[in-house]
Amino acid sequence: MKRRELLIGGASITGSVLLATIGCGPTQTVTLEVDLEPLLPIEAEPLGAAWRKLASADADPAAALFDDLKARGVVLQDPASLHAGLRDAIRDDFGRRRTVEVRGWVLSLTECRLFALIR
Amino acid sequence: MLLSPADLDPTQPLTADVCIVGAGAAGISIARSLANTSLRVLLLEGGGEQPSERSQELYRGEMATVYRKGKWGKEDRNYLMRSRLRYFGGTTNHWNGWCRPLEPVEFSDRAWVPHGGWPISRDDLAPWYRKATDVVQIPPFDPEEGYGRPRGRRMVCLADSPDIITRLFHWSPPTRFGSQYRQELVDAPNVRVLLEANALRAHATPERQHVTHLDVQLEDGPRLTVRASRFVFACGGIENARLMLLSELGSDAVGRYFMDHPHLRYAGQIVVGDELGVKGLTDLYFAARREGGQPTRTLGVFGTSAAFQATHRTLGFSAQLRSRRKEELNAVGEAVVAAQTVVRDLGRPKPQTWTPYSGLVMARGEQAPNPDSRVTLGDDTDRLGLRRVRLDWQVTEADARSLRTSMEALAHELGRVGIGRLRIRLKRDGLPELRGGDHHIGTTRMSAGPTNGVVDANCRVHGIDNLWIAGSSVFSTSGFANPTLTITALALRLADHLRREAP
Repeated sequence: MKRRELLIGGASITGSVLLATIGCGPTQTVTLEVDLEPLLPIEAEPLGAAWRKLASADADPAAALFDDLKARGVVLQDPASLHAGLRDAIRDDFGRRRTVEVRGWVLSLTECRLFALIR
Repeated sequence: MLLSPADLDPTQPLTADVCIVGAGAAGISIARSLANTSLRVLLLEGGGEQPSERSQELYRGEMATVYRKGKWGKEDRNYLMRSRLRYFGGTTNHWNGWCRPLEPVEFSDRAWVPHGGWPISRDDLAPWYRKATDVVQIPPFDPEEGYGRPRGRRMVCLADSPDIITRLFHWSPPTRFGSQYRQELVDAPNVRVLLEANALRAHATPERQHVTHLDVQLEDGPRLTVRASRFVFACGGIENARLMLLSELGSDAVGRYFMDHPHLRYAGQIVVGDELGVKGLTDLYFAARREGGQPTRTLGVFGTSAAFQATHRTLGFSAQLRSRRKEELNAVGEAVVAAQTVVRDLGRPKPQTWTPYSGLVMARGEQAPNPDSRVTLGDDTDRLGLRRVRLDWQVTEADARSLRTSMEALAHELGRVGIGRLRIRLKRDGLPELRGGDHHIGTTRMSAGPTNGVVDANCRVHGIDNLWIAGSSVFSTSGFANPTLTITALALRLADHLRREAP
């Protein structure tokens, strides 16, 4: 089984690994391992790129995502907290209609920000 | 009994206590209900026992504006011919069998829906809905909610959302009324069935308050006069209006308020995850069920709640899922699925493998009653010398907006509960490419008075003391559900009324 990495922090990863970078400074870098094998090829990047071209997109999605998660009390270094925080934020977005339509897909603002961080 | 032309004396009028014109779901249901009573019933059918091009051709007519060029996609000029069948059993000879009552809110007066609701409530019709389920051979619906939890195969239902809920349809076998109930009618001593009997025109007293007789042309035979104490037109949603117009009966509302169910076969794409234990699309929409030893099928669709419709001023709506193979997921769909799963799997020590499911969403909606959407008489005549119909079916931008708003609500709910994501393939403005559901509704609609309708709460034509109408033409609003169950329920209710009010 191939192991892939999802990094949330200031690091970068090459190849077919999904990377999300949150601009929270080097002291708050978080690295998580995620098995993405069943899902490849992953092409969330085009959606993130399309969202970034919208006028309503954040200028700095990483900062916006970080601020949002921080306001929720999410501990970025804690995988369980991060997982729950992202899930709850996404569901809340849909419940509050804090959504964006990108290429027809109705997406939560949080997941748009996440997509935009994929490199 | 089945009348043969040889039994008839064209110099003498045929007489009956009740003459029913049309042997489809409505006409046959009424005749069955009146069978074995003291009433002499005559059931006229324009077609024969089998389909024929000669009979079907009489349904040809002119389409004025089914689809607007360049805006609605391709035109459907054959709509009047292909959407109905002109022989014994009527259009039940090719219906799909989808059954569901109309929603209570669709009967009510909704401030945001012009021209009013029904003069009866869903509760008023409930006893006949129950009887109608027997006629179309399906299990009863839950009287409280209009749907029941399916047994047998597990099905995930959305029930606690304020905006979107799962609505259940039962599938009739489907019942072919002609073949299913023919012998029953033939055996009834008080019922006479006359086939290939084309109703031409009803005649009334000078004040237009009482129908005196009906002209009938037999195929390859003589012209007859039918005299009856009471007449019931049950010719279908378009022909009821046509016969009324040919007979110059009824109010100005005759032929107006034509509605169908706009269908968008590809309104969206859905991808589903497994956060609610949804293992595939079929978990969301399909359940086998067994009632009384007979397997039946239950189909779930997503619909908007009454509260949502009131808040957002939308109409009835349903979204049906259609399976799509995993391999057909496009790149964007893959991305959405992947991102969902990444978020889901964050922090799990050993993420589980799962399979994304994708499907298409077919949406259909209710139309608001519109007096300018109408059936009129065209200039051409058929071989019987009768003016053919001209149909101007109009779908408004408000109807389209309702569909769009409802799809957005569905997308939000799927995300809120973690089932999946929806891609909407409808523009924010303008009319989408759509087709009809072949449901002809509203042209002799039920109303409290003659200003905005043709029949009263008992289906009697306003101002005429012995003429009733049965079928989907009497629906005041269309709702989102297929009409046959409601047609049958209303017909059974009308039959009880006729029996109760018999002189």
